Amino acid sequence: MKRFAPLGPESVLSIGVLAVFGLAILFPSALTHSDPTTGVAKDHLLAPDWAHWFGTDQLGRDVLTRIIYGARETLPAALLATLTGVVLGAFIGGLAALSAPVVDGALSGVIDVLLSIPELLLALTVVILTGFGPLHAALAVGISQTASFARIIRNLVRSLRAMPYIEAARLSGTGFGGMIWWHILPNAFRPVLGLTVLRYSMAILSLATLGFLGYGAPPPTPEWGLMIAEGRDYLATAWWMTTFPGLALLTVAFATNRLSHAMTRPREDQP
Amino acid sequence: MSSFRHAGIQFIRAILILWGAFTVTFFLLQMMPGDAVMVRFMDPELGLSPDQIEAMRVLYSGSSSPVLQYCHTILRMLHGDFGYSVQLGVPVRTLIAAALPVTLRLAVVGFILSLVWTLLIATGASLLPARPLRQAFQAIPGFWSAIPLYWSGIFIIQILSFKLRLLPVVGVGPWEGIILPALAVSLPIAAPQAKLLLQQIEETERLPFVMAIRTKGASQESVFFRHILPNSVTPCLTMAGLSFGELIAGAIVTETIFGLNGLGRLTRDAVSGQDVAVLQAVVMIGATGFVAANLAVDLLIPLINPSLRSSAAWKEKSGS
Amino acid sequence: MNTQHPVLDISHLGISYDGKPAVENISLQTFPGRTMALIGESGSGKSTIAKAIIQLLPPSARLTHGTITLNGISLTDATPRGLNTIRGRQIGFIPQDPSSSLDPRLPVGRQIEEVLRLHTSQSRAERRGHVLHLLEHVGFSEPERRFSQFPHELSGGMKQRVLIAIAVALAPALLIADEPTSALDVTIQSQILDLLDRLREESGSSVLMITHDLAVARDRAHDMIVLQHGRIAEQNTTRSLFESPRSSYTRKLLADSPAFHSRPATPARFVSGMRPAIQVKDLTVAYGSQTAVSHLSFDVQPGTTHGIIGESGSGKTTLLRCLMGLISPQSGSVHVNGKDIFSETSAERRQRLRNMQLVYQNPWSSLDPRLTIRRIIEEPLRNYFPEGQAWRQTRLHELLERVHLPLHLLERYPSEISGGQCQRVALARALAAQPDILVLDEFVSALDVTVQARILELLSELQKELDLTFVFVSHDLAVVRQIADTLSIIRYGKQEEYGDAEQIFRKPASPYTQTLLQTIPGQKQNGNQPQKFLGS
Repeated sequence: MKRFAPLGPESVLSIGVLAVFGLAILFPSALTHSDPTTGVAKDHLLAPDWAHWFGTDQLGRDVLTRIIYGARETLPAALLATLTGVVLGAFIGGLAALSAPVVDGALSGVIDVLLSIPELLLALTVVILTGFGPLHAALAVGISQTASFARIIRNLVRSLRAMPYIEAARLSGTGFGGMIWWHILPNAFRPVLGLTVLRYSMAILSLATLGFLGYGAPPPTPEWGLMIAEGRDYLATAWWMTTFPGLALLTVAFATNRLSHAMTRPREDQP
Repeated sequence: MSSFRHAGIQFIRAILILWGAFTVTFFLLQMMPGDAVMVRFMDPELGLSPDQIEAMRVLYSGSSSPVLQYCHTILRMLHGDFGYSVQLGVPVRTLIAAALPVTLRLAVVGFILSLVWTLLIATGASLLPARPLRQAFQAIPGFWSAIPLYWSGIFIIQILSFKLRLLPVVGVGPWEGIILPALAVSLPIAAPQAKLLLQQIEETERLPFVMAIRTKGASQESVFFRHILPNSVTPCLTMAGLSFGELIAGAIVTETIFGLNGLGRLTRDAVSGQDVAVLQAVVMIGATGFVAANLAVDLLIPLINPSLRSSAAWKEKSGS
Repeated sequence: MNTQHPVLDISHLGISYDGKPAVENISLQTFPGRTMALIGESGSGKSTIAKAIIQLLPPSARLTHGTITLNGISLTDATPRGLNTIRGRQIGFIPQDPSSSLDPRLPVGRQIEEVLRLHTSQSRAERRGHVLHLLEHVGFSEPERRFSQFPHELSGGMKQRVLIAIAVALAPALLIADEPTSALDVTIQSQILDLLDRLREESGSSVLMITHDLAVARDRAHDMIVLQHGRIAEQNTTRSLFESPRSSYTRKLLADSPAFHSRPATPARFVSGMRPAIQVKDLTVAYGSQTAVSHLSFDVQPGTTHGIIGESGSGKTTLLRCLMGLISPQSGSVHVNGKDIFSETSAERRQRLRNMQLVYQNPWSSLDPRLTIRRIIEEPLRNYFPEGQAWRQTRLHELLERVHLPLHLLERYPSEISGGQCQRVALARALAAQPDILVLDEFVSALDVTVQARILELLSELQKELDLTFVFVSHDLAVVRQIADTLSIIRYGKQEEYGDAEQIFRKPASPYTQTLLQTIPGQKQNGNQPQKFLGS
């Protein structure tokens, strides 16, 4: 039996899709030669053809080019948001699970309060506080995810602490720090990673939502949510302006979702 | 007796959480740089004198010390007074009263639809005859949760309403007009519920009692509807309680797309205009919905799951 | 040899999981009114055969060969709908684990009723009457009250009675009992088996009993089949199997089963006058208002084994955790090597915990799944001994040799080794701290008999060579008898008996101990009486 289950076809496909988007983030100019922000006015609202695979928008900008450059707007920001969420959440949740019952109770109360505020509303509250813009939006999404990260990580660590092998390690003379470093972290890593990947797909969607509502990057930034919002006005005549950015979001979010699904699926170790 | 006590404790907890949610948002919003009132009224076009602006300030925010303001606001809120909208100059209560019914309709219909989806997906994924079909149903939750809500909403209008002319979205009664937005909002709500239900069904199916029931000669359908499904819904109910708050948040996007004048529209305007009092009121409504739904679920679960009814007496602590 | 028609007729059955054969060439017949035992250790394929008969194999299983017929009807060719009319009606199935084999959400009466609803056209009232009758038949005194109770309100033995009521509701021709009592306490176990015997005699059903327990089989079965690695090692009547076993595997099983031989005579190591290694005085532990352990006292002399026997809920786990100082008692004291463990400094506590190692029941959950065997055994070495890497390496090899594990296992993970190997690793980890005292919690209970026998041998070898003191907690009297010098028997937290082990086994003083000893399986032989069936 291997330590890591071999990657299934689904995971390979998901990783492949994400790699393409990764390429778009790192080398957008290798994938397209057009400019994402300035268009050719005479070429406005062209339907998809060989020259413009995904058509052009109202200013004659190539939609595919904008989607490629848009990856750079959403995906790293979503990563920042998710990392903010998981780091804060792991700190609060871990602290709660490892502390005395009084501290745990207090922190759990705070987590409950934050969970009671719907994530989007919490993100909007943060946005109103910090102001609009891509970085602020990422921070807002990260903070709005913190409570659910904290809750899940707290419960995970607590259930790990109750495992017989943890007690066995303590009775073998392992101290508190050793218990965390040698036993809790390695065992919590995989489930938390799976959760983080899942949350990443949700952060992408949340960020695009903020962009769609106009609280993210301002025009003419090629942000996917913003592109969908702009495309709405031309929906009757230029369906491609809304369809393709949405498909890009859907593809990357679905690939991430499947990847996390494959990661968190229980392994069949012993009968 | 103990169940009354349990209900009481849960109720107090709910109140405490609401109070916490109020406190958190109050201080978050008070920390706002640049007073919203000042921004609004220092507009030279209004031609207000500094004295008038100061008078406005006192009128809108009550008093200047944050702690006093906090006490003042919480007392007012307990009386159902949410203050004034700085943007529109009308009581927040009036705005909410107009907007809430629309959003509640949307939330209730969307919620019911999401439950229908969840059950359909679970049934399809468990009972369909061909394996590939079952697998396709199992992939639905992941797919739906990857769809951006505003994007699917746009296409629901475009296809169902404009192209196929099945249901109009403008100029119709309050319930007909809600069907399409509710459809849009139900998909992302159903996705996590269905995912959890599928997981739970998979776990229940592995329990020995399911095998024991099969040995009685019960058919696949009978085992599923009578035993597996009822034993799998409890965690889903908890999740459904959680998602009720998300429905109100989902309304922000949905109402924008479908042109509904509900809480979502109100929120959007409040964020754009930095209208703190309105946003605070909306957050409190969202939190109340969340807490109430959770309280309801919490009191409902023992009715569904008999082993949780008198748990304390049967828990054996020293069992080896 | 038998003129009756077989009820169940399996011929040349072969089943594989994902292409790997699980059972091969199994042929057997069962007859009305007789019990056939299918004996095997884990992985022998006994459950696969049971599931194949009732046609509820998991999807990864394939029937590669053979047929199964029940009273002349082929089960292997039946349609799903046809099978549903046979299951429950002609085949009754008694599952393994009563605690999880009932729907937790429904009253038990409704669950018995279900089988009637599925197979008969009885009215609701008729069904209710039938269920009440069944409840009474399987030994419930208040059927009306039981009808509306939920599974969590019944004890394990009661749940098993309900499951038996479901299985026998329609007097099926064949009853399959899949380890029907292995999850139950000894005293309950014999009651349930008595009930099964009675029902079989009354209805003339044929019983196929799947079990790992030779002693239970010897008490209850007329015929036996011993399985090894998915093949039949021996097929015989119970009597001749025990008197003159034909296969070497059967002989090995018999030799390794603790039930069939008492402890090899060793000189009593009960030396009084020395300072006891562990001294428990008047110990009482309570959780809230519930007393888990009350007024327990015993001494353990250095170099001896103290057995603690108790059924589930007896408080033995609580006692053990208190002994380790993991929970504090309400009153009473525990002295280890003369020192009170509840008034020690933290340095003393650390020293005592090094000297007194706890070894757990579950082979897998007590080893961290993310660490290699090397890291697991090294943990106490790093923590307790300042010596360097080279010293640790030498110690590691010594320890592995002590517990008879090959060196190449060091880089494996716990999920990659067997249960018996896991227990050896757990022992090596405990020994790494160089303790004087080992506290063993149901240490061999999860293991197959042959593995169990090797581990017990290892324990006595270690005790002799390292002069260790053992506290051995178990529910299994036969196992404890093999290893214990002194004994405490506890029930509901109270000490029923305490003293020299052989003395207690020979002349039990308390009535509870007497019943306990009488109900140990393997003492009667059912194979003797049913001669009349053979002759007919």
